[in-house]
Amino acid sequence: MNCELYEDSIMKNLDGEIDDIENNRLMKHLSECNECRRKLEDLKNIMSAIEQTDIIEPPCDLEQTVMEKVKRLDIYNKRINEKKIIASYFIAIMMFSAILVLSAILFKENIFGFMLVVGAPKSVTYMVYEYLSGLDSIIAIAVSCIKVLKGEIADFNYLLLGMLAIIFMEKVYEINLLQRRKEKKNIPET
Amino acid sequence: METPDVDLISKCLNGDNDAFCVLVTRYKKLIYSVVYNMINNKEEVNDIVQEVFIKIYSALDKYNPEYKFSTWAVRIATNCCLDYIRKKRIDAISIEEAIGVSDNIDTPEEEYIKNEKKKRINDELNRLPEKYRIPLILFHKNGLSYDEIAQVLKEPMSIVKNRLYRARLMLRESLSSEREEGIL
Repeated sequence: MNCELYEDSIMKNLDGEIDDIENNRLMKHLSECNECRRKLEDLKNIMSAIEQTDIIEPPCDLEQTVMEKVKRLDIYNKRINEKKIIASYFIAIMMFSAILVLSAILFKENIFGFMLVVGAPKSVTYMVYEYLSGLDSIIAIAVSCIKVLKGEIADFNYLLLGMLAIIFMEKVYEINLLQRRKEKKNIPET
Repeated sequence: METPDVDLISKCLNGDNDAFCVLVTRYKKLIYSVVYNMINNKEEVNDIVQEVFIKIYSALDKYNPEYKFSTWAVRIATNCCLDYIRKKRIDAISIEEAIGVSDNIDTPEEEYIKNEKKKRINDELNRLPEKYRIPLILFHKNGLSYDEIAQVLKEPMSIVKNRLYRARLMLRESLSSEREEGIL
């Protein structure tokens, strides 16, 4: 009798996944083979003992204990705040740089004169002046385009400077606010 | 209607910690039972379950919604238990503990024999190598399907089935003396 052929069927029978044809074949074999019959009985016996798991209830304060630890970690709020701070820093730096560049464009003659008085190398002084004049031309072209599109906008440079300054100040305020909140959260509860 | 797990996870990722509390309430029984069945030491179980939930919380941003949250959570619990077992050899459940939680329908003598049988089987189960013991526990004690076990253990289903079949036969073999004594 080739019992190995029926090992898979015995396991399927245990799992309740055996089809009728295979089960009938197995039953026929079991009626003739004491060893396989005992094997199935033993396995059923052992598995049913394993499946009799004790009724266990998690402690009532499990949520509370876990949530205390979770609130202490607070990973995702911290990450969101960090992202906001980084974005605000980036925007503030961009705005500050733009304000510097625009101011330099507005006062390019003064900067040119100052550099000559101070005694900066002439090549550098002229290069800075040319660079600022180039940027001024680009802005002038942009202003002309806007004028064509939307009519005349008086003192566009000042308007742009004002807007950038407002955005910069807003971002600095936001960074301070987020950092204050972060510091407040880091103070341990008494 | 119950809020889907995915929505709760997305709320957690947006900083709403209370949404995680709902997940803890929903899955505490499952996780507790998985850990309890693998560790069999009630004093340690609470700490490990808490650690599992903290690991789940910390890894929420890595959760793949293609899989069931319960399967993913059981995988974390299983890995946590395996780490613990590797660090410390666990003793089988104590007989006092086993008797303490069983029902009272049988006579004291019958109940003692039943508990003794259960204890011996659990002892042998705990002696099985990990790769055979874990699928057996997840299938027979926690009621996971082959597919779920394959996902938890990250193994093909054919390997899971083979290990489970082999584990049953190994357990029967190791309990052969008990059968001869008439305990089984």
